[in-house]
Amino acid sequence: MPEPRLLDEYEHHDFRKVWVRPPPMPHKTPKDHWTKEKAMFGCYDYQDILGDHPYIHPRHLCLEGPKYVRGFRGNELQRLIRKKCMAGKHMGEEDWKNLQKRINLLYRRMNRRK
Amino acid sequence: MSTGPVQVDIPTSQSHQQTDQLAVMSSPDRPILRMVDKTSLPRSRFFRPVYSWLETLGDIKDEKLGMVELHPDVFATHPRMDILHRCVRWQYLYRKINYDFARTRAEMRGGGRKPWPQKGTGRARHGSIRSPLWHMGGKCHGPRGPYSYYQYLPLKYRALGLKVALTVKHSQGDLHIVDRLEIPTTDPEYLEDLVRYRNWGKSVLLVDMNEDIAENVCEASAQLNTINVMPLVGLNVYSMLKHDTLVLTLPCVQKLENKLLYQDNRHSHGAKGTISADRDVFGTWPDK
Repeated sequence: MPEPRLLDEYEHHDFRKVWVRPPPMPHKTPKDHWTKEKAMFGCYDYQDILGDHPYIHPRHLCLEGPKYVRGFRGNELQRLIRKKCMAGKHMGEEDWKNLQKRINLLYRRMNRRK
Repeated sequence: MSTGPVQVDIPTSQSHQQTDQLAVMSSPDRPILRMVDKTSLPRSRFFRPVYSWLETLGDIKDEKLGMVELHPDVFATHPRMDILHRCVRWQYLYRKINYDFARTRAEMRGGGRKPWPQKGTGRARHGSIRSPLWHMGGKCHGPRGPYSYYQYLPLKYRALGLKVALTVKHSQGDLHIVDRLEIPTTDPEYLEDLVRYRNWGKSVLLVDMNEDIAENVCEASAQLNTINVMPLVGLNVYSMLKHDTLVLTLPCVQKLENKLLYQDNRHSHGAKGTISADRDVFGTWPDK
């Protein structure tokens, strides 16, 4: 919070002294755009062109996130079916139940006559 | 060889593929004009080769060691801004994952009981407290689960993006070619002074051939945020545009030209039966 300061524009008129506060601004923290990750963003993205192994697909450079969406773009039903195949064995009871419910709903919705 | 201040160094047919740095460094007192013969490389018509100074990081003063001929298909292509935009957008998106998730009424707890009878209470009819109309109810058509923004940009477009970025850097005077990434001290102030003296801007990207980069440069740049070191394999469009100045070593130029011209002139990529980067096979057998 900025300190209120004495506005001394009217220093010759003693009766006109006013305490002012700067208008409220949205609080912004300055971002550092040169952290190590940001400075090195995109490194090795073109390694199938510039590197010595030409058969590395960029899909295999997606190393973050759950495995069933890495390098895969599809609608919700496709994603859930992949999730069921790849992570279904390790899911708990409630998650599995919700997954099945959602898949059945989306499957019915997909096959509905429009 | 010719006499005078500039010595013309025409390499033999054996050494024109790999540029020998030792010939450059052997006589640092006298600048050498390097005329690398690139007539054997394929190039399109109507383009003249472009030239760049060969500089050195060994001294703060901007002393030119010689001149390098650059291939016009790599360093003087058309400045296609749309290709740059597609490459940068691809780099942003292809590994991005959105984790937004909202539960539906089916996934929330409770809500199975009818809150009050259908008729006779004077209130609106409701069947579940998790209906999307309710406060603390489920969300319909909300964000569902982690999903990725994965997209694929063809190999030739990405190679073209690299060429366009190199072209733009060169034509704006932001591309510098040095003999090797060697500085006398590990002091980061040396690099800062050098960058300030040569007007290289706020941020500099130093690119070396392999990942065994000289220790002095590594230690100095590790203490500076805006001066970064990268092997040639890691070079990409986003970093080239993010940094003000791009500094390549001499063998880097040779390898870049070879790699990018290969993408220009190739007929097909990869042998039959291999998983090619351009053939997007997922979960299928390519050779069947």
